[in-house]
Amino acid sequence: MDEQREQFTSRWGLIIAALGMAVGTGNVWRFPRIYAINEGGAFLIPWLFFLFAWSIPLLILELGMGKKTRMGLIGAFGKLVGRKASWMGGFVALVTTMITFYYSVVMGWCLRYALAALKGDLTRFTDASTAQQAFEQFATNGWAVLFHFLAIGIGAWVIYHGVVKGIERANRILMPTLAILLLVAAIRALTLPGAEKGLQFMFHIDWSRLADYRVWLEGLTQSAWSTGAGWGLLLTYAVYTREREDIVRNSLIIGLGNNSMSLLAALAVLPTVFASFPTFQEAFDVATFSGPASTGLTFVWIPILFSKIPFGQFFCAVFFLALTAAALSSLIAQIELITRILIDFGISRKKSIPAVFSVVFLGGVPSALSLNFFANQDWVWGLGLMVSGGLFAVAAIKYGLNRVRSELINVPGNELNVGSWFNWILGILVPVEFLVMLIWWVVQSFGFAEAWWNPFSIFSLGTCLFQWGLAVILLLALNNRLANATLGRVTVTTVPSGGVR
Amino acid sequence: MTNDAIAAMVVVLTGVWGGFALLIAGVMRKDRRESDY
Repeated sequence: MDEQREQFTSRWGLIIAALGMAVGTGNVWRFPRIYAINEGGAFLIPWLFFLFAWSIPLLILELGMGKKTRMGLIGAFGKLVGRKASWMGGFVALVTTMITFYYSVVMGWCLRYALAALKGDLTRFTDASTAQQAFEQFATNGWAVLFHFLAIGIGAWVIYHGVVKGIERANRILMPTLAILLLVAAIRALTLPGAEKGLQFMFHIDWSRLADYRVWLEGLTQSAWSTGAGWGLLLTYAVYTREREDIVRNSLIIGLGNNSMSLLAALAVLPTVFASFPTFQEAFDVATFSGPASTGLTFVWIPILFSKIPFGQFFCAVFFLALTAAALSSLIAQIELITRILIDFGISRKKSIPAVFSVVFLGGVPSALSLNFFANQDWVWGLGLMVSGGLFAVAAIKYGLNRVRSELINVPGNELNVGSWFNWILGILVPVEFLVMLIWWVVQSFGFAEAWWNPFSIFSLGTCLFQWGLAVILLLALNNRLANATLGRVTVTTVPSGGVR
Repeated sequence: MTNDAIAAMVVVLTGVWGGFALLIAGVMRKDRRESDY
């Protein structure tokens, strides 16, 4: 079932690849906007709380599951929870795969904008309507398909070279590059006249905001989306860890490293916004401008803002190159997740890549041609990540929380052992968070302008239930095949006495 | 910037970046210890 399995060359190989997995567009594109929408400082409290109450526990679980089973998502769930649970691993894998389809499109946008910025084409935009028109034109025609093709091509090329020469080597280049680019952009932003207005907005805590439950729930979704917790990506990388590898400290490094990069990205974006406008309200409106498919701040306003500052063309290129590097390092992990499952099915890495490339390319084309389709997929599968996180908690409970600690986490090589308090986090806190978050989304969706039940509207409860439902029915129907393909067939032998052994 | 915002900035950036740096330093120290043996 398993081809010769590679290993990361060292602990640093795993850490840098896992940081690459976690740090993506969620840090550079999503975080500054969500931070602003939740009116600054107060948002930091739930965002940091859920790092420790949701993301890091799930990262620890994923790392333990992958290391223990040495299999991708379907095999890991089947092996730990039982063959009947293979569909659960399949659901998590499907959610991440559906995200990969449009994530590759996003990376295509980033790549295109980085090239345009290098040529100086972006800084000619002087108002939002021209910039938005240009983006919408680009995002819905053949160019978007071409850049989506290039994005998935680059990602597949990295994965084709395997774990050490592909994933590890690419991230050893991408992550330091990203950190340096973001640092340069942040220093530029912080040295602009008026940048302190952005810092004041970022760090002034309006305590009354904490009474709004939406701030807490946005903190949770941002943390889950940004760290990659519950996606199955770290589980996949854990397959390639060394025999004696730490679980807990590495997960803490990934979680805190991810949040460190988010703060750096926010320091690059928000002070630039606030330094560019004379009044608070104007700056706030821009920082929270969603635009088509939530692209407003990054793809519409950033080019305009950089056009107004000295050496703007250079810094605009720096920003979009950083965004491209972040997107690529995460896309690589997503492609590896799909490839690992095919390897578990008995297909070699080299034969899997063309299949993965073709499926992701074709799956992403509708999102590359229609922003409405893109927005719908982002809505449905972004929310699907909540369910994925919930399924990980269910897997841990079914396997036994004490066994999770003693067999998956507190194992030889682990440096910081977790105590029985961890049972409470995985067994109670994470499921409660999942349920509260799910109920919140359901209640909220009743208030949308679109009919909540309509499966064909862009943002509705109905479209989520319809697409998730189809996925669950399909995976339940295929459960035995998935289990057989990854874990091997169960041979049932009839013995003379008529019993079965 | 107001004093409360400065204090929050110091706490958050020190906590997050400092925590990350400390964890990385811990791994480096362990690496060095192991290479000494």
